[in-house]
Amino acid sequence: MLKLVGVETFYGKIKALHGVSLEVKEGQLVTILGANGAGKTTILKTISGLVEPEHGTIHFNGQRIDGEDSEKIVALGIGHVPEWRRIFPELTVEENLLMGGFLIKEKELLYERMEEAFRHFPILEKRKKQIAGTMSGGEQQMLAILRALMIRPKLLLLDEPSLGLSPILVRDIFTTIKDLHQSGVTILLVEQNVNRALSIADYGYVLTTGKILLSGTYEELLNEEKVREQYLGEGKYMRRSKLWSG
Amino acid sequence: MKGRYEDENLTWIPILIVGIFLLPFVLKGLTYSYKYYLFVLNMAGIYIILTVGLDLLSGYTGLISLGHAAFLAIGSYTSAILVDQVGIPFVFSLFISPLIVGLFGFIIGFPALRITGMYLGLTTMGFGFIVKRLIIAFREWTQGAGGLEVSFPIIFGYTFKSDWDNYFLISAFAILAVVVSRRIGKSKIGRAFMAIRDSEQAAEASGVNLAKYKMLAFFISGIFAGLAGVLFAHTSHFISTDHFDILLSIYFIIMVLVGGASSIYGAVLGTLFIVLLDYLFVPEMKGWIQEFLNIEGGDIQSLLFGLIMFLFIIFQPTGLYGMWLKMRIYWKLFPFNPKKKFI
Ligand SMILES: Nc1ncnc2c1ncn2[C@@H]1O[C@H](COP(=O)(O)OP(=O)(O)OP(=O)(O)O)[C@@H](O)[C@H]1O
Ligand SMILES: [Mg+2]
Repeated sequence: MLKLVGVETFYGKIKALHGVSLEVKEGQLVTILGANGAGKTTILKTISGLVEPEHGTIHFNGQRIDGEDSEKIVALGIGHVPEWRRIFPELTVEENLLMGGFLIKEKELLYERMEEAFRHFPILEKRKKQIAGTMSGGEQQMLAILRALMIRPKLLLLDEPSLGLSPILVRDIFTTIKDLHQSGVTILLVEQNVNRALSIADYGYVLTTGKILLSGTYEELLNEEKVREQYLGEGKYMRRSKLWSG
Repeated sequence: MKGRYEDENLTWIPILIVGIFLLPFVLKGLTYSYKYYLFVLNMAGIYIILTVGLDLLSGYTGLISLGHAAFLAIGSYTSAILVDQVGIPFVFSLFISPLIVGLFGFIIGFPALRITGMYLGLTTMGFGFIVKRLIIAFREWTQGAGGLEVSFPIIFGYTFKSDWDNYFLISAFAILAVVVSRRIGKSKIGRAFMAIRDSEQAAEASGVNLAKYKMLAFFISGIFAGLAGVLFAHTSHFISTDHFDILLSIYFIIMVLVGGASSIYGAVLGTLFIVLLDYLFVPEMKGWIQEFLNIEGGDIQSLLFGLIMFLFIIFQPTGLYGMWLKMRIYWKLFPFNPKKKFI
């Protein structure tokens, strides 16, 4: 469904991706793991057209999408939930969802989709007139996900959805992601919560400083010395000194 | 479902509009200097047309413009030249000149694709200087720094000669500008503007074409400023570069901020507030200062407006309109309101 080959992305002169190749098959939940600054966000941004790759190709359902406008990529059915739950803080919940359906031309369909989103997460319906920035972190994250679901994406890109949430909310978010996946949405998930991410993923990639270091299934990755050592070995938290060791 | 303003009570709007058109008669009955008040209100009306457009650009889309006096100037000079030198009827100029200014807005929008915030403010300010120089340079049409005489507005054979006549012309267009700008603000376009302001990345990830909508914001804002310019030129009969000083651009932003950015009614309130202060209060104040301190008042309004903006940003960031909304809730709940101050 999605295939990246040798993708290189720059920020000015800084090379953030050094030839990334990865694949997401229809119906899969694939996760990208990696330390801070590894380039995970950059991969997602490159896929959804927020930044343009210098080299390499990206194909989505057989169609080449690298270098296309994000407007067109969204229309093809790629939904992106940006890092740090980038909702529109000064818009109401309802307006946030309407923005998610920005490319939907028919009014009826737009409101139908909104109803559907509220059914996913009924708490938000009661708050549809609330200014989104005044909601709790968990609610905002849910809203960010629902907003991306407005176009009923074929592929959903999730950038660290559990970032900054309490453990209970993290659990809820992962349950939601799992439900979404089971309802048939293909998902590319970026996470630092390695255990949780791998436990729901079909396949994982480990990224270090812009390069794919390893890839495999949950079991395969668990057996990898490096993954255990760097991400799982030391209980819940990564040691800071290890974050930068690549 | 209609979105943001659906629960709004609209019944008072017709009353307000009737009130606006009755106001001159009331003023005439009340005071001999009603003509001066009408002149001041005309100024406010023209500026309102501009500031509601500026609000769409700076308040809604978050693109600061410190060059709106220049847009006003282009609208004024374009119409003066088109009507008095090319010979186009005033009614046509009402449509053509704003569109031309809109195109200028479009051009100024290009840098906004790459820069934001204070740098955009400085760039648009630079545009203001350039326009001023150009007006002086194109002496042949603009009479240079000496200023240009402009004909009266003529609509279907009726000539608007006095502040009394102009009041009705300007009010009509000001009401139109408010209605249209609110329409835009409430529409899908307005939503895209606010989304860009809130988070460019999330807007883009939702499928908003940033370049297109930023340029559109400048274009629309230019049209409003252009319309204000046309009315300004023909109702004041005389225009010169002094009328379009850089300071005026800053005052426009203050009007929007004081009223409450990203609310059209806020821009209207803020503009009325500042203009009334400027024309009715500041001269008085200069008198007092002269009397009690025995020093020249000078450019006291810059100081005053700067201070007002400062206080608003710190204590009332939602502006006059936000203050009004809070007061309304307060009185609605009275006497069951929480023991909180409402401002
Ligand atoms: N807008 C930018 N301008 C310049 N450099 C950037 C920009 N965004 C990211 N980078 C750099 O690109 C590299 C990859 O960043 P990226 O945000 O993709 O990492 P990440 O894996 O998502 O990190 P995190 O886990 O902290 O979110 C980093 O070295 C970062 O400093
Ligand atoms: Mg990231």
